Amino acid sequence: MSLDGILEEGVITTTVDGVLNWAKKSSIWPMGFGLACCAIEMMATGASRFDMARFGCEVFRPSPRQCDLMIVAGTVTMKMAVRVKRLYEQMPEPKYVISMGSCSNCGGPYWQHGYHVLKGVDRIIPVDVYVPGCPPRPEALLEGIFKLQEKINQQTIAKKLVV
Amino acid sequence: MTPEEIFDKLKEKFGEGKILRLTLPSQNGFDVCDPFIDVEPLAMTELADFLKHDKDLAFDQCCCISGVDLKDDLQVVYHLFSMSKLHKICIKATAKRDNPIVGTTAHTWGVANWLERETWDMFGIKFKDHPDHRRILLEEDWEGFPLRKDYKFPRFWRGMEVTPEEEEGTYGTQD
Ligand code: SF4
Repeated sequence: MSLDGILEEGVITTTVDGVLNWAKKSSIWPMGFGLACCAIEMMATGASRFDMARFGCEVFRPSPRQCDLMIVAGTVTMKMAVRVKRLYEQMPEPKYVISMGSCSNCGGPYWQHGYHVLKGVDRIIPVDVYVPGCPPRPEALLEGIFKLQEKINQQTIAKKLVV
Repeated sequence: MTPEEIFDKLKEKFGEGKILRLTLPSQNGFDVCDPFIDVEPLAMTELADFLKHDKDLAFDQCCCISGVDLKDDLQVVYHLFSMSKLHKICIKATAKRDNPIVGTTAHTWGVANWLERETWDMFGIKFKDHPDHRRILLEEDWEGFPLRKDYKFPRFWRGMEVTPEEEEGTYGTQD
């Protein structure tokens, strides 16, 4: 850095964006709610074997007001879709959504004959990362979180980049 | 008690008008099917009370209540079991499709309350004198009864797309 040697030892320089993004991406707190079988894999991801805590997102919050990330883990039924939308609206900015599993990506096995299932959660809320699978393995969900971290890293306070 | 004994006992108490017939597995060509008794739908309430409280029958457990769409009729099927006597029976109440009403059994078996609500939710079969006659799984403003054969999927519900446009017409009726 150009200021090296001018400032005292122990002082580092960075950009505002860099510091904000670093803080955001290193402590993504997900919301603790699961909708169907995919939620079991999400729980496994949070538990000791896969240990989401390694990446700063182990703090599953019981209230949308304290969350940064909504992992839509499972089948979004029409009845639940109304609640999912409300929960999303209750989350404070900045907020991110991971759609986990075929069901929440596109209706999955309920594409046909599923009168009760929303055909993709992106029809009601904006989705940042899609994780395919039925259910996705915990590694896949972790990969989804890394992708989200990459995405957060590209944000600037000037304007939210659409990647 | 054997199914025949149960049938005779019910017939003696309620008469032929309410207890219609007994079908044994050997008689209808399905040897895996349980023996079942066809009854008059509106008699279900008093019948359930008798089935549970009579000391020889003692059907203290209602295992399952299901709905069946028979095209012209709608049917409610009760699977009953007696914990003390260790016998079981299946009761079928068939109601007309245009106005399906069956007597409730919710006052006899507590579990029947929710099971009957589910049958109403999915098949639109009404239960006379049910204490809490609401849908149980779908929202109150849902239209139609999804497990009926002639159910047409709605295109939208509360502004959300239920049937994607490109799939319209390919959903629903399964016959
Ligand atoms: S995608 Fe598969 S595993 Fe996930 S909720 Fe749907 S059916 Fe269950």
